Amino acid sequence: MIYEIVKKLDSVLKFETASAHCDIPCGIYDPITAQIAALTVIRMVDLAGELQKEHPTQDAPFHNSLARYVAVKEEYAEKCKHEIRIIWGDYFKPEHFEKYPELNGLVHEILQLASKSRQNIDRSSGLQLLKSVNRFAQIFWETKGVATKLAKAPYEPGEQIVYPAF
Amino acid sequence: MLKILKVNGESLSPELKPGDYVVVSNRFWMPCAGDVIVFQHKRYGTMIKKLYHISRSGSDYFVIGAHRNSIDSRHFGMIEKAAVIGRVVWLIRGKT
Repeated sequence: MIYEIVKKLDSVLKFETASAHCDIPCGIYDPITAQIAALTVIRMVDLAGELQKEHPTQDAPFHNSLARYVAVKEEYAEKCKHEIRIIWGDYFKPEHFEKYPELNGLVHEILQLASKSRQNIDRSSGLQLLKSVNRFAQIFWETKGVATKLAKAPYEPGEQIVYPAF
Repeated sequence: MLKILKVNGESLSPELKPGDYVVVSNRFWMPCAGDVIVFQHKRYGTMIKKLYHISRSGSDYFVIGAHRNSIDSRHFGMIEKAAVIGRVVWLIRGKT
């Protein structure tokens, strides 16, 4: 009742607003950024492998390029973890965890695989990461009632990713 | 001084939600961490956040929201004591 009285007073007196300001337009989530991040990890491993062939003497340009590829691999493996954490923490609701009991374990697996991708320069780690992120994306779209399809990304490393079939 | 304001935004959710009203006072108040305060920010206008830390001199406050994406002192730094309108003494919660 007190609330209703204050609300009526507000309509007449127009109380000032105190903003509990939040940064993002809440409600906008998309796993594509995590998927692209996983693809980037794989791409950096591929580029590092090509570098070995182009610079067998491992000269200064080799080390320069390798350092840059590793830096990007580090950044995007961490970005993948960040994007997954945000969707897991901010989007998924209790009913989703009930319907997909694998979800928490899958998130943990993704975080571990992303760390593993940082620790080594091995393509198989990146592929495992992408596979798990794809499954996460599939679950995400299913919770929105959107069917998914697997298609080859139109850019290197040309691996398959889960897309929403709008 | 008592002032009534309407809450807008999610950064203190679920404690304070959009549509709630707060009664704010600046009388007989020794600020301490945990107080929910209302203050003026030159860019964001009238804001409401939780007081997290007070500088040693007592003239600056570090404020935060509860939400991970809250715009607060982590973005705009500490606020001056002079910018504070008061602390929340009464929360009038809207319908849930």
